[in-house]
Amino acid sequence: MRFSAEEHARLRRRVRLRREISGWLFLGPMFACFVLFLVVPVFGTLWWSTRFGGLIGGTKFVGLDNFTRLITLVGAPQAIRNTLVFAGISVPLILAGALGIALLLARLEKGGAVYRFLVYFPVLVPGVVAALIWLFLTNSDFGLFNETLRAFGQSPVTWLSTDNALGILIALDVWRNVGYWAMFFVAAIIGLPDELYQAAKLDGASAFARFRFLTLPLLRRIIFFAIVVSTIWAFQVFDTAIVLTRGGPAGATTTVVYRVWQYVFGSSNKVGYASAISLVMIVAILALTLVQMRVLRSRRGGD
Amino acid sequence: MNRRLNREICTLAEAHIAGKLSRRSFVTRLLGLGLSATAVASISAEFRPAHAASDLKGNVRFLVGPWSPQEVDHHKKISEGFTALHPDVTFEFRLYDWETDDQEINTSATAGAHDIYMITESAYPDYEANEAFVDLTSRINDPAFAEEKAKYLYFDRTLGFGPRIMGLPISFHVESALFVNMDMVKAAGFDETFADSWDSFRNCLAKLNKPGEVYPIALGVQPYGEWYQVLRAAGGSFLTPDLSSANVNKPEVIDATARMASLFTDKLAAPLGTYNYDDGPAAFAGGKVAILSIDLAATTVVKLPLPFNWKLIPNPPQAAGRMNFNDITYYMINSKSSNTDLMWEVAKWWTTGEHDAYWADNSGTYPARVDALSNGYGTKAAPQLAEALPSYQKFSVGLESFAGWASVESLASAEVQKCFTGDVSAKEAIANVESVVKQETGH
Repeated sequence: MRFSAEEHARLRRRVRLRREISGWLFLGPMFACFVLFLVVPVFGTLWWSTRFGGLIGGTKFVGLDNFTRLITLVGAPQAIRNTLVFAGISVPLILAGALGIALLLARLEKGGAVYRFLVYFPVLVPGVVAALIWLFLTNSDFGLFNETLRAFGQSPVTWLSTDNALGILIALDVWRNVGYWAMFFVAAIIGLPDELYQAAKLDGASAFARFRFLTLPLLRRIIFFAIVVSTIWAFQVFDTAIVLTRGGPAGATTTVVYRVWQYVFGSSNKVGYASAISLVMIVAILALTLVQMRVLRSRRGGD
Repeated sequence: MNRRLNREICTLAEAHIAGKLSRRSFVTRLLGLGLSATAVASISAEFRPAHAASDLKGNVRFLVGPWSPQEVDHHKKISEGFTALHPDVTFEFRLYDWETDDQEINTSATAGAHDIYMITESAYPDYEANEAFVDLTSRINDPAFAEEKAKYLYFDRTLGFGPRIMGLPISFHVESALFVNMDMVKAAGFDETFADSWDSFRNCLAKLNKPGEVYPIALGVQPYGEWYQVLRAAGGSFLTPDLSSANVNKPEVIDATARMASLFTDKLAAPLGTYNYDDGPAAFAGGKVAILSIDLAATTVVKLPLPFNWKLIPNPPQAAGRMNFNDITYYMINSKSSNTDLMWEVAKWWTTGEHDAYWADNSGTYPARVDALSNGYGTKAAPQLAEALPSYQKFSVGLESFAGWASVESLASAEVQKCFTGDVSAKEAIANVESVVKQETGH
């Protein structure tokens, strides 16, 4: 049976259409979720940032008032400082720790899977549960930390005091995330070309020199990715802060996202403030990421 | 009345069949009975409440706060009696979190996800001003409800927020009380009057201090309302009575706050962060803390009776100018609820003297009904609660009537805590609180 050229074209169109439709059907659920959970909330945040009011009781348009008032909000500098300190300390600790653990794990010949599981285990613990675990660890009367101190004849410490609470929050974050990035680095280290290391050894390069001049440059892409992503996550710290310390004491662990939460959930008519803070934060993270990309890319020598 | 009528008809019929009643008399009396029944029915219809329930049928969804660890069980217990009377009514109970109660209630009410809500007074002004919940004024002021209405306490206070009554009160709750280990206080050489003056109170704390073993006092464990009482006792408030301007930055308020902060700087109070809302009561029960500042619901967390003598006193601990901040809790009905009549019947059932007494007795709070005591209140609750009630009522003060009060209170508490840690002086902290008030209220 032979088809005319016109019928051929029609059949081709039908097949193409069918393929298009099935493609969209496969994409549909994901696209709907993307629109529902990302596009709509982003536009919703934009809309709310220009309004005064809450979910109940109506709103009114206030232009850019919510943004201009952010500068004078009492407690805002503390929240920003806490967030920056948190990110500035936790990100280097997480990445340095992850790299160190990855170097050790990559050298293991036996039992690697067990160690990898143990290192990765805290990542599997949800933030809220992790914070509850640390709440018990840091309890003044029966927590593991103070019990250990008492066992060594030391005085107990108030771990969640104003002086120590942010440090504990950072330690918790490092504990939770170091395993995640360690797995990334292990996979990258295992994939590095062995012949380069053999050649370096033949040339008499020390272990540190091999790490400094081979491993680090070869891992720079993954390290760059890790810096950018872990910095973004650090700026978004919230769940552990609310469970562990409720942003306190005296605002010692109040972060920017915590303030957003306070305005959305702790107040009946300040959704506009919360939205404005969120938008400023998105822009700040975007700007920081661009700076990081510029700095790290220039160090890579423009490749 | 139906049963009585039925009995009368049966008696007449039996008498007629037995030959004791002629046919004529039987019919005449039967007619008379029918006429009088009709008359009674028509008269009772006149007095029938405007909102009387007809057939009660449906599902009632509650959204309530977790006052005690067995909160849902207590509600289920109350629902059992209602279900026995009305088998076609079913119940669902969900708890919100105290940290997110406003927004959970807002989103739920907007979506019509629940029918009856437990709402604290701190949020009441917000809802009084909008249509999220049913205006119950006409039902509550219905003459048929007058006798019951008289048994509820605090409607006067409710009307302070506006002309409408949006809920039925269920509790009077003291947000910051001092739990005092009297055995320790007496061992330190003080009697029950130790808190009548600030100097005596402070001297007592100094004697109670056993570094490494016992903290004399734990403050800031549950900051909500704690400093607010100090503010009110010192003659301040967030806004002036006419709500026109901030009323925080006063010398008396600064002094009172500085006195509170001195307990931390002089190491008489457990450092902030030592105890939280969950482990504070355990530390008090375990003798690690001699005096604990926390809300009365803590009595449901500790295992009673405690192994020592203890009592509740108002906070701050001075006879002069004592002020006790408390709030009332209400049941309110969602405007989007499909069967308001059913919800009204359920809300009334939940707040009868018997049920209010049962719930309050198990929740570490005081009932909002005059007849609660005669209905069993005090059978389970710590006797210290009943003992302390007169002083809490005597010095009672509620929140101020402006929307967003809770938000101001939360931000103000965090600012004041900064002077407890020595980060700022009391004067700076109070200036910051005033800024918070201005920033949040626009006054």
